[in-house]
Amino acid sequence: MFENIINAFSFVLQMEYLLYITAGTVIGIFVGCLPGLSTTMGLALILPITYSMEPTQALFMLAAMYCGGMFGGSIPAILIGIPGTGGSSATLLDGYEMAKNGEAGKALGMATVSSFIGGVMGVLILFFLSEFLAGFALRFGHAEYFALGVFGLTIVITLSSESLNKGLIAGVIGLLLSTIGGDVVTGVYRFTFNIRGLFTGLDFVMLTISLFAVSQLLKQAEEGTTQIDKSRITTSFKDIIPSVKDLKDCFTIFIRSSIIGSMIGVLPGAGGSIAGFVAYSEAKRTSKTPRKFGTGYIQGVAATETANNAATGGAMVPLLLFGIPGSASTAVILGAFIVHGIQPGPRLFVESADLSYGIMASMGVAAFIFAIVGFALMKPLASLLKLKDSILGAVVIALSVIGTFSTNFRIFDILLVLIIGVFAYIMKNNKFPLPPILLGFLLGPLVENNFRRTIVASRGDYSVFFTRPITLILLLISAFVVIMPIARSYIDKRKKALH
Amino acid sequence: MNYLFKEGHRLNIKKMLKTGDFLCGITFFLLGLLLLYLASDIPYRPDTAIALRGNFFPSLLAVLLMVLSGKLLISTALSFKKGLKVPEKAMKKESVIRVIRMIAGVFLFYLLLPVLGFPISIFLLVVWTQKTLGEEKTIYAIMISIIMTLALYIIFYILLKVQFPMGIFFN
Repeated sequence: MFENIINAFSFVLQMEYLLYITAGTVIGIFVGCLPGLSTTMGLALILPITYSMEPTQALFMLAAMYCGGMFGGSIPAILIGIPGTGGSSATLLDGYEMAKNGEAGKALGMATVSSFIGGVMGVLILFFLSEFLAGFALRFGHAEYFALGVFGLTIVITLSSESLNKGLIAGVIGLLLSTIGGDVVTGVYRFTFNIRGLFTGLDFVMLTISLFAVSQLLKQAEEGTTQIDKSRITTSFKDIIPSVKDLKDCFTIFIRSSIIGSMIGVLPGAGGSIAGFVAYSEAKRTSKTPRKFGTGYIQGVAATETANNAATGGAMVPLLLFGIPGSASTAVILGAFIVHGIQPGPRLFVESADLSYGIMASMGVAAFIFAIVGFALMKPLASLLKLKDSILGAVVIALSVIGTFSTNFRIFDILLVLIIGVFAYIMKNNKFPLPPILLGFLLGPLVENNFRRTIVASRGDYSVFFTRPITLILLLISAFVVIMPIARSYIDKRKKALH
Repeated sequence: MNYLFKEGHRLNIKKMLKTGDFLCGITFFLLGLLLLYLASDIPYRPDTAIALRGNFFPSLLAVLLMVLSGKLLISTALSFKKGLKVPEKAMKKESVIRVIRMIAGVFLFYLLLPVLGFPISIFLLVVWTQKTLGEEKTIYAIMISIIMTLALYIIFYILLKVQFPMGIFFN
């Protein structure tokens, strides 16, 4: 195995491939940091250009672009509160708050370091544990996905620090929003009111824009300011680069989030978005200072960015080992394999070891490149927040409407984003947390569709949820996460009453 | 609920009705009720098990929303009784006007985009947004808008080939 790793890195570090990997990473960062333009779209745009390249050049470039895109998404999430990719949705929970506190540079610095660590760890896990992860993924059926979705929904409790009831209402709203459109199992349209624009349901990126960008813009209009403390914006390297203390404090977060990211990334249909939220929730739950999360806490940024970049490594496992794309982005990469006449799968590692291990190595090299680019851009990017509030607001609205239109190329989506944005603004003003809406929307299909598929597959036997080990464990953990705060609160009240 | 009508508590109802929590509770409760009604209209085959029907999950969520909203209403009422809650201050008139202007700006953009096309619509939106957010110098706003429109046009339309509607002037 070590010999394979050394050979792979020696192979990709040739100047010819290094140039393609660098180009792919930079393009990926650029596409990733434009809201509405997903990494998938960027990959699809670049794919035709790769037809004339050698297979190794094309695949290394696309893999690097995938990694760069995941990192790039954190930039707008931190600076303007709009995640550039789905994987960066959880980053804005603390990243944007840090920017409002004048610590955008520090947030970007930690995002760069965390993304680098997550990317490298994801690749190492890919090298050493790909077979184990593949076996783990194969054990995931519909019941396991349902249980994973339920576990994911318990994160709503973690995200609802101020009012659990309001957080749960927000989570249910998100789940309801996910039911709009065609039902995957029966094919009927739900809550579409015969509006063509709703037949395909709501888009995740659009919802993110409306919940966070539009509502934030309306809040800015109400208060007459961006709430960014410009007096505290500092762009000196000393304040931007994470300190040794910050890195030490985040050490266990890096390890845990990398593992979470890789394990969730390997599951087809899961991905960076869910990995980010799960890692964030675990970091908060195990922290000695959980109340700091959501207020602009650097550990929140560390957890999400490590996980979503580690997930890129995990997502390559089903693609390389089985030829099964786990996400839309890896589906495009699979397209590149096919165009170049290569069949991914177990034989790839035997017949084209240079290519298969080289793809993994190119992702590791991409992590170094986006770290260099990230450090180079930190200072100028953080300085952007010194611009006038009116200009920042104009940038946000322009990127919001363009990002919305770019998702499905429908003008109607702009109206939809505005309506949801207004509701989100009203909810925000009444102290309803917005991240649970996004989480409910993300996990709704995972929970509902897999529940129904499990029932169909088991012919109505509900005991399958308790007899499959992984399902049972996930459901028990979910129950524990739900009951613990309630039990703790009850015990605290009893103690107070006794005293 | 009799305590709400006791002497000294009558005023709480009026104050309570003005709070965001109470209004949100009522709104979400009614929304849940509406969604439950709409979910009952979702077609399904009569021989399908309840849990597999298309309306099962939405109905369940609608009921859950009603329960949680009801809990919010009750907790708000109890908070008022204990004197733990007071109505929020109303928004200032200028703030309301700015919010309405921002909403109107995006709505007008949505209406004008297919007619005027991307360049003109985004230019107008950016100018409008800057003026709403406090930019006093119109010339400055126009200059920023021109630069932003050009940059967005080059990045999205030319480089990334995003096909924006170009309206009646640029088609």
